[in-house]
Amino acid sequence: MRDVDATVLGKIILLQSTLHIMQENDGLARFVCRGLEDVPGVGAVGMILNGSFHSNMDASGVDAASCSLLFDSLAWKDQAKNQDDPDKPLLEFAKAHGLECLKIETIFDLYGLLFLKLTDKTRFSPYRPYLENTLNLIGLIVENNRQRALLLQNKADLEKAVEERTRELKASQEQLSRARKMEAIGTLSGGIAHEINNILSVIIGNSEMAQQEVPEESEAGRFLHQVVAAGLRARDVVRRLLMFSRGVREAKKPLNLSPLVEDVLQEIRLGLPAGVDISWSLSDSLPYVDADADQMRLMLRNLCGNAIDAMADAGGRIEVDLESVVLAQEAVAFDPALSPGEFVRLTVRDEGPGVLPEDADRIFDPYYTTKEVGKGTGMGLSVVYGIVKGHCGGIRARNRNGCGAAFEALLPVSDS
Amino acid sequence: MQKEEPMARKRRKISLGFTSQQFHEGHHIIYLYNDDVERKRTMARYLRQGLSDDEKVLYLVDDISPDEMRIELMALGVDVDAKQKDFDITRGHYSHCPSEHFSPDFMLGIVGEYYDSAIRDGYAGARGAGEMSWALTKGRAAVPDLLEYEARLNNILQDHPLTTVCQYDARRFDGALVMDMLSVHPLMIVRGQLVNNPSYVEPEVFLKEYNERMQRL
Repeated sequence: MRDVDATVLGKIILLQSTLHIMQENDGLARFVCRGLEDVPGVGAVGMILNGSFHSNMDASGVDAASCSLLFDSLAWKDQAKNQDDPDKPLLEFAKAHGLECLKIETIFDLYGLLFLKLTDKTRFSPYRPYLENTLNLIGLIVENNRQRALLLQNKADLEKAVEERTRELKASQEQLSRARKMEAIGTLSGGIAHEINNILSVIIGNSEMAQQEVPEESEAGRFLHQVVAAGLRARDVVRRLLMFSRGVREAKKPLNLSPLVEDVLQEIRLGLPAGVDISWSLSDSLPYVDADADQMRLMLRNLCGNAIDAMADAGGRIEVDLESVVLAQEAVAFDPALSPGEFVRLTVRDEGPGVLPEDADRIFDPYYTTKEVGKGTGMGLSVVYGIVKGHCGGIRARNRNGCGAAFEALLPVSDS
Repeated sequence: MQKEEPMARKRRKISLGFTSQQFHEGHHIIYLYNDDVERKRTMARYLRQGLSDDEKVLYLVDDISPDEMRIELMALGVDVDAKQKDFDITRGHYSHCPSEHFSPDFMLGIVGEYYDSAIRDGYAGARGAGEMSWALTKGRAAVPDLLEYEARLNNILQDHPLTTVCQYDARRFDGALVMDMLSVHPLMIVRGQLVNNPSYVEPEVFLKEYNERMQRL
C-alpha cells in the first residue's frame, strides 16, 4: 500500500498479536494507547473500553466524564433516541473536539471508543484500515472474554445447583431410609406386642382367678398379687409399644386443639419441678384436625415431659406454640410421607443441652434414651412419633439457635 | 582448562529449547504471558536445553520460593538435582542489589560477571531467565530504573552474551509500561513462539525519548 511504513505496520501487527494477552479494560486501553502513539500523523490517543478510560490528550476536552456520556448515548440504552442517525452523537463529538472517533464493537454490542488527535491527516490516512482492524480485534477479544465469563458463571451456577440437588437427594434418601426403618420397627414391635398382649391376658386373667381361690394374706396370695402387678406393668409397656406401632385404634374426630392443649399445659404447670417454667402461645382461630383427644393429650405430656427431663439439672423455660401453617414442599421435605398443604403445628421448645448429632437419627427409636440408666423408659418420644404418624402427620427435632431443642409436630388440617 | 577471554569469543549459535530455530547467544527476549502453565512449560524447555548444551544456567524466581520452583522444574523434566553445580536459582533481581533496592548499574555488573565467570569455569556459555513481578512491590524498584536496566542490558549482552528471558505477567503490569518494555527487547515470545519485535528501539534512542516524555509529564 502507498505510503505505508513497513516498521509501523509490523508494530501494529505485533500489537494485534499481543492484545489477547493483556488484561481487559484498563490494561488493554493503556497498552493500545501507548502502542498507537507512534503511528504517523497521530498526536495523541485516548480510549474508553468497558467503562475504563485512558487518554494522553491533555486540554482537548476529552475526559472520562464526557467520553462516558458519549459512550452511553451510543450504547443500546439510548439507541431509541438516535434511531434516525445512530452515529450523530459521535460525529458531533468528533467535530467539537477536532478528533477522529472510532468505534470498538461487534455485531452484538458496542464496547468502547478510540479517540485520535491527528497532527497530519494525510500521513495517517493509509494506516486507518489497520487501526480499524485492530479495533475489530479488540471488540472480538472483549466479546470473547465476556462469553467466557458468562460460560464460567453458568458452569459455576450449574455445579452449585447439581451440588444442592445432590445434597437434597441424599437428605431425602436418608429420610426415606429412616422412615422405612421406623416403619419396620413399628411393624415388628406391633406384632410382638399383640402376641405378648394375648399371653398377658391369659396370665393376668388366670392369676386373678387364682387370687379368688387363696386367702389374700397367705404366701401364695402375696405371690399372686405380685404376678398380677407385674402383668399389669407389662400390659402398660405393651400399650406403649402398640401406641408407637399404631396398633391402638384411634377415636378420631374433628378437634380444635387449642382448648385441649391449654388444659394439659395448665395441668403440667402445677407439677413443674423447681427451676422449670412454662409459657405458651396458642392461636385462637385454629382449623380443626382429625384427632384422638386422648392421644393428643398423651403426645403433649410426653413432649413436655421430655423437655422437663432435659432441663432437670440447669432449669429453664419450656415454650409451647400452637399455630396454623401452610407449608411448601421444601418445608415438609424432612418427611417423605408428608405432602405440602395446611397444617396445625405444635412446637415444644426447651433450654436443655439440645440434640446431639449422633442422637438425631435415633431419637424417636423405641427404647433409645439419652438419659441416665433408670431414668426414663426410652418410649416417650417413640409414643409421640407413633401418635403423630397415626394422625398422618410428621415430627422432627431441631436444635435452637441459642440453646436447647425444639420438637415440631405437624398435623394435617381436617378435610371436613 | 585454558582460560578464555570472553571479549574475544565468537558468538555461538544456540537452541532455545522451545523453538526449532537456532539463534546467536546473547539475545534479550521478553516473555509477555497471562498463563502460568504455558510459561513454566516454555521456561522448562529453555532451561533444560541450556543444561544439556553445557551452559551455566541462572533462574531468578519471584512468584514462589526457589525450593518450590526447583520442585516444579523437576516435575517439568528439568533435572536440577543432577545439574546442581550448573544451575543457580535465587530470588529476583532486587535480592542481589544492596539493601534489596534495585540498582541498574549494580545488576548490569552482576549479569556481565555471571557470564564471564561461567566462561572462566569452562562452560560453553550461559543463559538466564527472570520473573519480573517483584518490581510491582512498592519500594523494590523505580519504573525508570527498570526501563533503563532493560534498555542498557542490550549493550551489556553485546560483550557478555548471556541469553536472557525477562518474564512479565500481562495480568499484573500496567499496559503502558508493557508497551515500553516491548520497546527495549529485540525479541519476544508470543504463544510459545519467538518473534522479532518490530517495536524494538535502540537503547540510547529509547532512553532519550523516554526521558523527554517524562519531562513533558
